[in-house]
Amino acid sequence: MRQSGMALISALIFLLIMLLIVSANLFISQMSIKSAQSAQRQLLFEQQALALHLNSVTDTTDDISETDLTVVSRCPASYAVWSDTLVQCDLLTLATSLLSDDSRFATSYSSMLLRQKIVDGEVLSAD
Amino acid sequence: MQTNRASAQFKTSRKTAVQIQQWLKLAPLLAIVLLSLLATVVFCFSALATTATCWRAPAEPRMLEIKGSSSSGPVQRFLHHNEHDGAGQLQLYSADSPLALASLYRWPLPDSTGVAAAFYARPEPLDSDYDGLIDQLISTDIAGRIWLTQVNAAGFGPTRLLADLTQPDWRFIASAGVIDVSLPLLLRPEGLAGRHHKLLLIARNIATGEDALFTVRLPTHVPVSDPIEFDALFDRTVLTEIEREEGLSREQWRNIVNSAGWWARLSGQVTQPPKVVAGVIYSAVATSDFSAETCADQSAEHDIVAMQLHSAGLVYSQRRFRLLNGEGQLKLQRQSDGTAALVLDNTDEQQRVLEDLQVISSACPDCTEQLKLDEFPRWLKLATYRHETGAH
Repeated sequence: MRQSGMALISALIFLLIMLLIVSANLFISQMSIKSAQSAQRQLLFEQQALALHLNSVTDTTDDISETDLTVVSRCPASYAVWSDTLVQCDLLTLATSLLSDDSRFATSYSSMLLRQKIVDGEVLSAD
Repeated sequence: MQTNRASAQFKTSRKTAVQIQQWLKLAPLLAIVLLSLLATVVFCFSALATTATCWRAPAEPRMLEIKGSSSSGPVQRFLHHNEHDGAGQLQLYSADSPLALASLYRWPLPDSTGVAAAFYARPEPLDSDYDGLIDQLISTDIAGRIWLTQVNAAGFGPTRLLADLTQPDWRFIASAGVIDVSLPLLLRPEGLAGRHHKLLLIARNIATGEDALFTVRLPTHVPVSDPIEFDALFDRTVLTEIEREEGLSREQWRNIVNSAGWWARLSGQVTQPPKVVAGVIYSAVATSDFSAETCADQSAEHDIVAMQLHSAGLVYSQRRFRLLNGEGQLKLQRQSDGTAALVLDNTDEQQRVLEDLQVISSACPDCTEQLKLDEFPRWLKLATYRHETGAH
């Protein structure tokens, strides 16, 4: 009878020690906080990557070299149409990617941009 | 002996008489064949004879980039439209051979298959799938029949008759291009596809020598519909007083856009290819000194005609503007404030035709805005997408 009581107490003490060790580990590693925040961090990162991409789209449209553009044979359909001989359309595919500081996340975005340009020689200057 | 010789001669002459009789029996048949051949030739020549030579622009072979086999990429082909015994035909050439790769001279007609009239209008190449390569051709013969032909590197594919605008008085002499139209939801009649191709044609009246502008909405739907006929086009030659004062009503707009296209007489002869600028067609026409026999080369009076592309309605206070002379090419001119003007540009001087050009707006059937040329080059973002690598 006394022996079974001792075994029960030993088991309880062992479980208590294990519980303390596991709790301490969880507390030190902040695993629960990290797991709770990971989704949010991912979203923030995605948003950051998209913002970077859209910024670079704006920058690109200001300064682009002609070699990156693909000439398309016809401009897409529109309401206020121009003759093919007056307006030329070029297509640009722009890709940006972002890697997080700790290299755990990587996201890349691509955009298809269309440039409509009046054919050289069709527009005269007023001067 | 003499009797035998006489009987032999008699037999020979009888045989000849029988042969002559046999030929005489065939004579009506031969006469019918010869007469019908003669009639065909006369008909072909009379169709051409009614048009003055100056109605036709020189037909230069046109270079097309066509999809080749998957490994070789695009291939270059030359398209030529000419006549074979008075009938219109298309020929496709490769760059390194004087022999035609393929010829197309049998065309589907409303009831059967037959020959086309001469091609005065240049065939228009189309890129139907936007891959940068030509895969279809729109051909219009002088009688006003419009065909859609599939084309590939090896030759011509199936051909479909899209329209038969044949009229006794009109000859379709030039094409002003194919444009891709997209109608905004607010202005789109129910049941009409948002996107379609529109073919612009110039036809000349054989009685008066006057030109008319035709726009035809090309049928795109499958199964194949009946060919469009002349009567299905909306006559927009005359603008009513109500339309001049109050603008185009919604109902009128719906009727015009829902029809197969519109046409309008220009009261003159077109002197250069019309230009479509921001949804407005500008045509330079000579309004005097022309007839069905003589072209308006030395015309004293010239007009510029401006019409809304989709409805032929008013864009400015009036459709026609008088020009001092018709010399020079129609060009756009960028003003210092970014607005646009239309000028006739020749080597000596620039004649200002119209100032403050307008762009059609989708807010209402006849809404317009000021055209700003300093917006160009204009960038449109077609799509943004995220690359996904691995599972998330």
